[in-house]
Amino acid sequence: MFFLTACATPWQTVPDRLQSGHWSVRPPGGWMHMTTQDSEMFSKDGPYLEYIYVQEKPLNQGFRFTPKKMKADMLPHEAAQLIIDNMRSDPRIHQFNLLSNEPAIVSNQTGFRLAYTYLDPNGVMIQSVYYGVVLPQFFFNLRYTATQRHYFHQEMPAFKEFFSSLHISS
Amino acid sequence: MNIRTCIATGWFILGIATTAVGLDSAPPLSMQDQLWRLAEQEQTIYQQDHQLFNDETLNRFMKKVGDKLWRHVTSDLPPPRINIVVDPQPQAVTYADGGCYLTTGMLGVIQNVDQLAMVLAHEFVHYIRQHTVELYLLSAGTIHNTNLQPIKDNIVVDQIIQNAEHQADEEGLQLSIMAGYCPAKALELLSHFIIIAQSKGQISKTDQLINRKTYFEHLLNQLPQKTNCLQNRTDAPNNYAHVTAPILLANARKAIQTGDLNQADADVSRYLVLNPMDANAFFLKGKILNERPGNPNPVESIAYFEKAIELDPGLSSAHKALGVFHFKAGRYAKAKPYFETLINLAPQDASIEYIKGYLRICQK
Repeated sequence: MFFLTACATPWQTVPDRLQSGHWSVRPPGGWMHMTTQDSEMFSKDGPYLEYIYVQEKPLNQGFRFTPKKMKADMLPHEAAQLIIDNMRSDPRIHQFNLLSNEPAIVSNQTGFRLAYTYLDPNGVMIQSVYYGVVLPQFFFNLRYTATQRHYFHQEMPAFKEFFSSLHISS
Repeated sequence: MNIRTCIATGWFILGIATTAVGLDSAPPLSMQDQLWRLAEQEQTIYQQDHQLFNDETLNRFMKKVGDKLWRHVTSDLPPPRINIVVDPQPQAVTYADGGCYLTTGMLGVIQNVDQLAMVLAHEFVHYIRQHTVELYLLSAGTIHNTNLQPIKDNIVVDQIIQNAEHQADEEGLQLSIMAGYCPAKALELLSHFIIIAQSKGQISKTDQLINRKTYFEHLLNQLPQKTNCLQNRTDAPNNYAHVTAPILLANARKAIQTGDLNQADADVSRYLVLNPMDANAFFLKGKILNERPGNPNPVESIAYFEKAIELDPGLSSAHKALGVFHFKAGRYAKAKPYFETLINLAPQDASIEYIKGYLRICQK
């Protein structure tokens, strides 16, 4: 919900396979997607209830709430910590609770997986799973975010299938 | 004291020092229930969003100063509870129930016990006078039954807050003097806040602080000559500095987390003046250098990490830093013993699963 930009295409029905930049994925049937300059957002019931966000972020691009940047030689735990620090510094996020922080394979690449919850500005508890991997030219990240109540667990199977279909080209 | 806090802590209207503000009647029950829930939510969120800083020596010191001030208060209210939260921003917040929160940033800016006493005395007056309750009651007519939105644009509210701040300065000064502290030293603190606000380009805040300093100077000038303690008082500034030193490292860690490496370095350097052989401080020095874009001083950062281990061989963070440093450079043979030591020392480290993965690579 924090990522909508002015340079987005309208919401469209997802194709069988979506290719964007250096990655491709098989989106869940019946979902919609929106394309921006460096990301894709997918949702079934509307992004305030749940969404999957995939981004190919150039390494020289900064983050909103930290002056730190990803570096090509960053190890997965360092990249994970930068994401955590950025979120902890976000004034819109309250009661940030890191549930897990562990290594993960993201399309055959060594990355990290974060699971966390937080209270959004409207007092709604949000739950999220965030995968990230630092590649030579960009930081690839993929997250599934939904209201903790009902929607997060309801669409988790769809996200798992989405994640398993992900392919990142070298 | 911010406006949201003022409105949110109005839940203590009933049962807490109603005579202090001369209340004649309680607000409608439904409004009270809403304020009670909102205020509880405020404090819960505040405590969950902020890590409390727990250092036994410092907590005892803070309590001692607080008790010394409270001894001179005549009130039915229970004594305030002083808490320290980890936040590099200098701030002090007091809730109507006596919950008083000072940030590590505030303690880092304060230079001596007299300034600390003035800050606490100021906050105590907000509590004693129940300013948040007063603000709520005077604003109650403008709040709809189901709408508790902050009245940010209300000029009357701004004036009420300014009056409350003046009262807190005036009565806090008196309280500080009665307890044997030197409130004149608070002028230096206000000057410091002005410099901080100016450096951040906070024009409106700078103006407010200048006005406040002018008002405070006026209050000091009205004191009898014998209470001008600047020349008479012999204090031990090092005592405050030593007792509060741990907050410098807490501020430094927070500053590293937010990427403010210059502030982190300043805090660690101040700490090392007081504790020149502290392993954690040397580790943080190395970490700050390591985090600088491009790490222009890799040899120097390694030296800091090695010094930290020399001072404290059990400092797992230094072992991790050196292991990662060598691993990233492809020096697996050098990285391996550091990773193995880290796993032995800190099996519960947050990044331990990552480290085990790196170690497997080293062992191939």
